[in-house]
Amino acid sequence: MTVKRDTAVALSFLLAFLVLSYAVVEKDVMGLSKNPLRPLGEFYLGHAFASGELTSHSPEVVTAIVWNYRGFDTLFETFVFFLAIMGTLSVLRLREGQERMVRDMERVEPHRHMDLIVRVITRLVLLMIIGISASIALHGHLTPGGGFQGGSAMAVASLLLFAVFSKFTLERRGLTLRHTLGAYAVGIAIILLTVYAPLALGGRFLQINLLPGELGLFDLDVGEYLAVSFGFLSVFLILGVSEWIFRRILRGEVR
Amino acid sequence: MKPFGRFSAGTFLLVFLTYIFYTGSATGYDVITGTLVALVVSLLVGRWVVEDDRKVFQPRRWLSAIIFFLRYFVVEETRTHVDVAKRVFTLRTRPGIVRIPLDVKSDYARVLVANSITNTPGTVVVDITDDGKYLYVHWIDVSSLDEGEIKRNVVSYFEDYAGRMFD
Repeated sequence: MTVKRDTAVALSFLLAFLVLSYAVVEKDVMGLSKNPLRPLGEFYLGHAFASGELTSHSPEVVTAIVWNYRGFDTLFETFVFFLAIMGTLSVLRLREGQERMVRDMERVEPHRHMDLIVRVITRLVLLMIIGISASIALHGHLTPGGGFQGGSAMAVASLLLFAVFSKFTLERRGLTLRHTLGAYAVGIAIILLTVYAPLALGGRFLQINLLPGELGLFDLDVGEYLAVSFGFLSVFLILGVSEWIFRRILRGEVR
Repeated sequence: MKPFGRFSAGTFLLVFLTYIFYTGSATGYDVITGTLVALVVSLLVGRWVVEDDRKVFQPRRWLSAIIFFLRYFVVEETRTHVDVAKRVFTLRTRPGIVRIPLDVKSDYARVLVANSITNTPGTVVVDITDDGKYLYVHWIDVSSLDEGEIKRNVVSYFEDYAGRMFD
């Protein structure tokens, strides 16, 4: 029954995709091919990487738009993410004594770990994901991608780590919430510095021309990469405590 | 905390090559940033994936890896694909789960054997014991219950090469 339904869904998606692409590409339904480039698009393409007045020093137009032409929007998105992390911290973060209680209780909990094959392969894959996410982030000013995309890929690596090992694997190896929040703060600081520095140098807010040549938006990508990957990792570290442990500690709090 | 005591050249190479391969170019900028990223990663978690760096840089291990992968993907895969394709039409199967002892010592060698078995049609590794010494394999044609016979059929030469590569 379900197999039939799945097949029907898959086939209808395929059909819809074929019909849509045929209509758009062959029959020119939406008039995309005859439509000339709009003035706004022309402006972005012409100015993103140029020597004129309104350039953003970035060969990658999408990054130029995201960080410069609509920079306020991105800045406030970063603040939204900041608020989400602060919210998690203020509601769920444990005091030092409670952290110790969690560690004691975790020792009692029967330890489940995945089998050898999963653990070995995951370690290799994790390192490769880290390399790829860094590549996405550090080439944000050259190719599609950027700090947020790289950070999201990194968050996948953290999730994989949490699923296969546990949050205590990280903490035993010396990476605690304090470190991840520190790295997150460094990322936010890089972003804020880049955004406010032009004011001190006699420019306007968000007038980001600090680095030479193609590197116009490089520092923002690095900052966002750090902020997103370590922001997610911090949240996962907080949420990674087993529910029964958390409940017991919260109940102790009430008493 | 001795960060430099944990540095591993093998980890560095893995991250660096992944970085360059994914980027798809090797300009000065790529090499510099890739080196930085790989340095940071290998300083932080160097000993996590590579226990003994000397093994990474022994040519004979890489040589046996190349021979194994050629022999595996060209000969073994073809043979087992044909075998299973025949069984699909003749329906001549004797499915069952067999236990296979492993002789190789290192984790990577055990995983290589297990994944090679899973990757050939007709055999799937169902479980591995916690100490890594036994595999439980679902086999499409349990033609024998003798341990040596099973091993010859299912594991064949995977274990020799895995041992030469990782042990």
